[in-house]
Amino acid sequence: MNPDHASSPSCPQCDEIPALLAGELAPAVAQQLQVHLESCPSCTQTAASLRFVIGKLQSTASPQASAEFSNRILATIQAPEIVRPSFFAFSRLHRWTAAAAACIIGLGVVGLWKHRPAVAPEVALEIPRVSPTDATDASLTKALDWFCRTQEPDGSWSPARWGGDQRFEVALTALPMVALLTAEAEITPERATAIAKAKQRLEAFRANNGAFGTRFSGASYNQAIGTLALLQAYKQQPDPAARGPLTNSLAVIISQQTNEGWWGASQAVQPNLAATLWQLETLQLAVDLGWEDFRPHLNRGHEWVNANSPARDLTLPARLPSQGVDFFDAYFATTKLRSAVDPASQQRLAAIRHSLLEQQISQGEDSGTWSPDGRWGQVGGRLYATAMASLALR
Amino acid sequence: MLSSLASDEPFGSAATPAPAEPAGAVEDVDALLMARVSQGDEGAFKTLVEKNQNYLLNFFARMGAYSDCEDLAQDTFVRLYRYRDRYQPTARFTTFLHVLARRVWADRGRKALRREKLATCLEAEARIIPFTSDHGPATADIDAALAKLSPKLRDVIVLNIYQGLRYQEVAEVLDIPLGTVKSRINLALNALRESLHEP
Repeated sequence: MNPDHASSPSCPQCDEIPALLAGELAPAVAQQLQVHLESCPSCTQTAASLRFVIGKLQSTASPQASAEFSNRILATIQAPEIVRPSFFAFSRLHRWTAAAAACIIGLGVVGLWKHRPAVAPEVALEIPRVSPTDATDASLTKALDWFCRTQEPDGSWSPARWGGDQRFEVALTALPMVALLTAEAEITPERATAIAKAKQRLEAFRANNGAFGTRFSGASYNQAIGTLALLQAYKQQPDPAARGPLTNSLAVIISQQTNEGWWGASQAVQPNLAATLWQLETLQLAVDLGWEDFRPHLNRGHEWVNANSPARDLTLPARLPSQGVDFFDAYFATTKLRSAVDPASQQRLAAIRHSLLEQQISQGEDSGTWSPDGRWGQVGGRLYATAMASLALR
Repeated sequence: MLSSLASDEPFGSAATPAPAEPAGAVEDVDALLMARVSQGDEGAFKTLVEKNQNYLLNFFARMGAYSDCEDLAQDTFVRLYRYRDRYQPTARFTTFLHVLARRVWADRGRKALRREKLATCLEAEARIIPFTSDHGPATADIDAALAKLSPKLRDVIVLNIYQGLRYQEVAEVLDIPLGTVKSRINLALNALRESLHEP
């Protein structure tokens, strides 16, 4: 036995390290322990050792149910002693067979469903809807349906097909997936299937070391947004087996952060605020989901943003969509404004949403989309515009 | 611990964990599906099964089940279905599902014990290939390390590390104080550090 592995660590704070790694500590306590870790060799060694053990435990493959598993259960529950007689006519088995055939893809991937009350009328009647207006719901429905219609057979969305740069295929597959996952709208079987196919495609894009796509001048966008989408999927359906690959992808992100806290569009040549904000968006979600180790990188990034762009108040986008469409600003502004409660913020949020609703295309082949007229329109095309507008409307 | 789970009717009020947070504070998709199941929605139950089947299989595999993982998961789902009319979303659905799964696991343990007493199952068990045996030596090491843990320590590791439950949820599933969860996880991880021969 390695004497360093004694079960009674020399430093009393070692006892808190498992909780820190699990994201179970209050932020202030976690922060204090992080600071302590930097100066305590015993705790540092314990933390490294525990990470190794947890990583090893999580490295094993998870079992998969056999193809007939769910049908076997359904046959079991249809036995007379389990079913409620009034619900089960002779035709039930046939209905199950038909449903199984129709849903062989859709229901096989329902792990990602974000089933909103709106799709369960019998439940929704008892749960009051709070925020989205009917107009917003209708707008989102059109946009999400467009994503389902335009998804490629392999699960990706093709930027080149919609006026964008094909090199951003990862990011522009991830953004519609995030929109589908997080929209406050009904998740139909078609949408669930689209989400699952997109997730599979993103996982295929990801190399063993966690890197997405090829290296080029905009690679950091692919890395951040691809990771963001898979984190959102993990948030919906925490799969322990997904943690390792996600950690690898997050490690790629922080490996590209400079000591000053910023990221570049590709390699760390010069600061890029947009690229930095996307990395921080991803790291923030990771920390929220328990990747506490990345908090120092998140903090350093925020400090750089605050110190170097003080004039850029994200709650006050310089341009409303109606004044020269800027979906990037709309997205980041509404993200901030949603948590604000003061009347001014709520008015601005309503104004942005109103503007977005007005600009959505309502007829023709592009019905449900937004035209890629603004900043990054040439890069992201209609996919980017529609995904960012949808996300801003959540 | 097993004696407290011995009832054949595992769905009494004591089996339903205390609320982790105010009801309705967080949307629980599976709880909504259960509400639909209770109203006769067959598709909702199929969705629940397909959504959680691999998750449940993982639980039983990590708890040490061998070739009968699917049987145990099936038993859990059947119990869930039987309980559909009485289910109340007072805690996250995942927490409730693990309460059921642990009861199924406990029942399996008692049956195995009876078989052992009759000396009828030992040879058969020895012939069964462990579920994870084809995943290589590293997995075998991990299985062996988990097997060395006491049931109480293995419980918390499986629920927290493999099933992704938060400490509070682990406490609710096991019906133990939060501080006990924390200390057991610390003990278990220290034991695993020794077993897994960290370089």
